[in-house]
Amino acid sequence: MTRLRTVARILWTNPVLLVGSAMLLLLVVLVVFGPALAPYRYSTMHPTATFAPPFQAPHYLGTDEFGRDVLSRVVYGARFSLLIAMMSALLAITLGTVFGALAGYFGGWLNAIIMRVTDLLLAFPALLLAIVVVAIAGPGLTNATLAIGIVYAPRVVRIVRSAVLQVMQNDYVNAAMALGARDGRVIWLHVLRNTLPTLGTYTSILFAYGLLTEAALSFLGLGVQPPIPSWGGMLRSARSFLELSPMLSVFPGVAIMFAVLTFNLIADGLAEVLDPRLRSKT
Amino acid sequence: MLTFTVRRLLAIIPLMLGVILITMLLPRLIPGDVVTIMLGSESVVSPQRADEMRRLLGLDRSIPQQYWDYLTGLVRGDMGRSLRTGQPVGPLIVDRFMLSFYISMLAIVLGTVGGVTLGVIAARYRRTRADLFFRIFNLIGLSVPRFWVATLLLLAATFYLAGTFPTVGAARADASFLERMRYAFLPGLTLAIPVAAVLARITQTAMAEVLAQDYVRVAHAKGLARRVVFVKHALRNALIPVVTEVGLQTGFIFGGIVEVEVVFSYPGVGQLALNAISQRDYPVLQGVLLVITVLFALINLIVDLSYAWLDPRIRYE
Repeated sequence: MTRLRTVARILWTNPVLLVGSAMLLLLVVLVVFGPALAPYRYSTMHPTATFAPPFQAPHYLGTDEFGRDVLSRVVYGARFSLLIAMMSALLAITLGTVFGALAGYFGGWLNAIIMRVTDLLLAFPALLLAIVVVAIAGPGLTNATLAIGIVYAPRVVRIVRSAVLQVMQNDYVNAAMALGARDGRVIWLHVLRNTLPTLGTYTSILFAYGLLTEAALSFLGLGVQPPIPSWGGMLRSARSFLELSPMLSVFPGVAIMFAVLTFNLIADGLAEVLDPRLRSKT
Repeated sequence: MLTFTVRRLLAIIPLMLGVILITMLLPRLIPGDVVTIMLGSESVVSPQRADEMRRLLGLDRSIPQQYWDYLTGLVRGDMGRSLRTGQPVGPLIVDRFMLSFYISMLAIVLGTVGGVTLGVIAARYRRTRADLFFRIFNLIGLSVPRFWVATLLLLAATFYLAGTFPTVGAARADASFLERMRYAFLPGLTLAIPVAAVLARITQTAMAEVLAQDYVRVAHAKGLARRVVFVKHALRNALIPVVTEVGLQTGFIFGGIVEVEVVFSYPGVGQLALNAISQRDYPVLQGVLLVITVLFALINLIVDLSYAWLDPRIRYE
């Protein structure tokens, strides 16, 4: 109960986090109840109503070249876009935490190898590397997820490693070691737990990166393949009808912006909660 | 300073050796090599013919051999030839890169000028209602997909600014500088928006910190105009984190070039890389990736060196 109250108090004093959380709730509702909320299935075609203009019943956001309801496709698209973002963020966090912790805790040659590989991967612009990885593995949902996860893992390695190095300066880590705790126990119980605040904020940022990268990959035809709706993929097919139906290029982009903004707001708010120096009005 | 620069330049070499190895291995992992794709249109592909082509293109040699060939070629200034067109890769990349260079330059200049200006204004209005506006601009700038902003700008230019800024392709080779910039303007503006958003935020924070210093209070106290204090006393000292971020942002710009070049059908390095991937043109892809990573490393070096200019207390030994 007190915990719930603490959360409520934090949310109340931090409007950015509050708005972000409300938006996240909306996204979760869309993902979970999407099929029930969407007026049509994402693949249902209405051959007599292609390129219907928006803001009119029964297709409130209009229809595309096959007469598919844009609103329904945007709602369904949330599932796939957020799924990829979530899985790739988890992958990046897992890979990054394991290698970052190993490099920071053990140091020496292990650190040297891990950090050189990290530097090498960071030498490439993220999107370009993701494109090359997808080209190797082939386009599709799983491979796009893997590519995004791999591309962002090196950033997590750096963050975790420096957090681990910082935490290891503390006496309680030395104490645990002196008491004869095994490496695994020290890493898990004393080191990683204390890097969680940093990681929490970065996870939210990774969600935002993941969404943007997935959208770009799908826009380039390398992500989720049609007829599965993804926001980036919808914008890709809308490109052929820019003059005929420009609104088709608007709504999926608004959806991407909304979702990315959600996670940026949460990251911003969390950073403020966790680092009181950033608080603007107190 | 000189020793530092030389040492940093030398440190790029091992990084490059690694990058070359990766750019050598990665494209070759893409399923279906160039020969199968090139011969794909022929009805019957005899294995002999495929082998012969691989030999002609030098693809029958082992990876370490190809690596060595590539390295010795690089030293002679030879980046190989396109497997598809036979054009030498070096000049091809230089041509295309100049086109992308206009976009990146515009993005950096517009983004930096816009971002720093906004950041200074935001620092002036910190802790007022206007603060919220700057924060929202920052967050939205970070949240919009670049290819979507590009699409919206393209739509706006088509419907409202017909003819002012071209929305397709790049200027011809003999065009004037102004004409080239006109073609690069919309793609450059697209990439400048997120840069401006990030820089505005960082400038604001840095300015706020500097403005709280005693020497700024002294400057105010001796009666200097607020503008003079802001620009002469505070801004230069607030610029270090900003410059660091400009360096980091170039990495994002290089990635974003692919997105905007596709939307505006602009024939720069981004498109070149995408085509090279789909055609399995290894030397071209390798060349593009190599040039981009070298540039990225050099820009970060310049960023580090500029600290000494911004803050004379920093000395590199």
